[in-house]
Amino acid sequence: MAVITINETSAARAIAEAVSLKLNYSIIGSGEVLEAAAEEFGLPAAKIHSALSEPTMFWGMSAATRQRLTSCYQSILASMLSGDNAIYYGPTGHLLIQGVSHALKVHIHCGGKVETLCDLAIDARNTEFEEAVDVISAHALSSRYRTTTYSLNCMRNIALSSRVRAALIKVDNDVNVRAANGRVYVHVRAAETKRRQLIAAVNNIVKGISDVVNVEVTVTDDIFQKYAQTYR
Amino acid sequence: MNANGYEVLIVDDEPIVGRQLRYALSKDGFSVETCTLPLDALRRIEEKYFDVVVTDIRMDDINGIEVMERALSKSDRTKVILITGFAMMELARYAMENGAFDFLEKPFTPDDLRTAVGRAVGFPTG
Repeated sequence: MAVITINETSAARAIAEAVSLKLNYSIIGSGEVLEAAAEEFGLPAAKIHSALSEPTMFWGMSAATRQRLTSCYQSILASMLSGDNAIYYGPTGHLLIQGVSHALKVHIHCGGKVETLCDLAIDARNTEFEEAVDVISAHALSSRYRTTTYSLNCMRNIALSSRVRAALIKVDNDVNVRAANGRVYVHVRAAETKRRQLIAAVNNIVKGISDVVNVEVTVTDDIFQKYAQTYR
Repeated sequence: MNANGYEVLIVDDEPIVGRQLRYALSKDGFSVETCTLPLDALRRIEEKYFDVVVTDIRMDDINGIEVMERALSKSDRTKVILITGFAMMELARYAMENGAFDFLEKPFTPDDLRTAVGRAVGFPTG
């Protein structure tokens, strides 16, 4: 069985609900994820929603804040999707679960640019509601999207790396995290003088996260801090 | 689990992999044969019915997908589990679309394989 993600469109919710009924899948809406993320991280749900939906503007939310809020949302979403037989409608789903063979990524659009990350594109202008539900269900039931030991592992790795990233993003906005069967690889940037301190901080945070077996931290030069220190 | 009577064939060109997997599965009572040459595996598949065939994908001469095709054409009751150190989403989807029962990325733990083989022969998963 598969996990289905549908991008955020006006038709997504109704289609997701119909597919979930037809396949007996559990349904996860963006509202549910927002609420859980707000509770888990102690943040206002409206602010997380803005980070996910509002376009980037010069006078708007800073990139750092947007990344932090998005990572909190993704951390919750990844853990909700680590089970099987679920359908999610909302933002960032396609991007989050790249590389998972049992994840069927559906892009519903009204013409214009079609996401390259998706597995199935449906043009809402010339597809009837029932037809869209049937096509998505048939794809989800095909053997191509059947869960494997490998794909479940991929999903678990994404869930763990998302949790770790959400915990570390206060240390470095551009923190890069990869997880493989409990081993976590973290890449951060720091000036030479702050490296030791940063590695200790990362180790402390990550070791407290469940399912982490060990952590490896690599640090590269933060050139902005470096030059700021040089010319101070 | 008691798997007495279930026949498993393991195909991997690295002898140590076959030995380790045979040890892990034999503990559960599976009757296990190993082949390091895919040609030998094809011959055994022709000669005998296997409940489960576990095969590496990347091997010289004949790859695991061909081993799977031969096993499934001999008997559609045989379950094929593909293992590879070069796992990718598209390869996993291709394997499943073409009849694989499961797909595992190397390295995996003996327990991962025992669970997959157990599921293949219909043991309840816990």
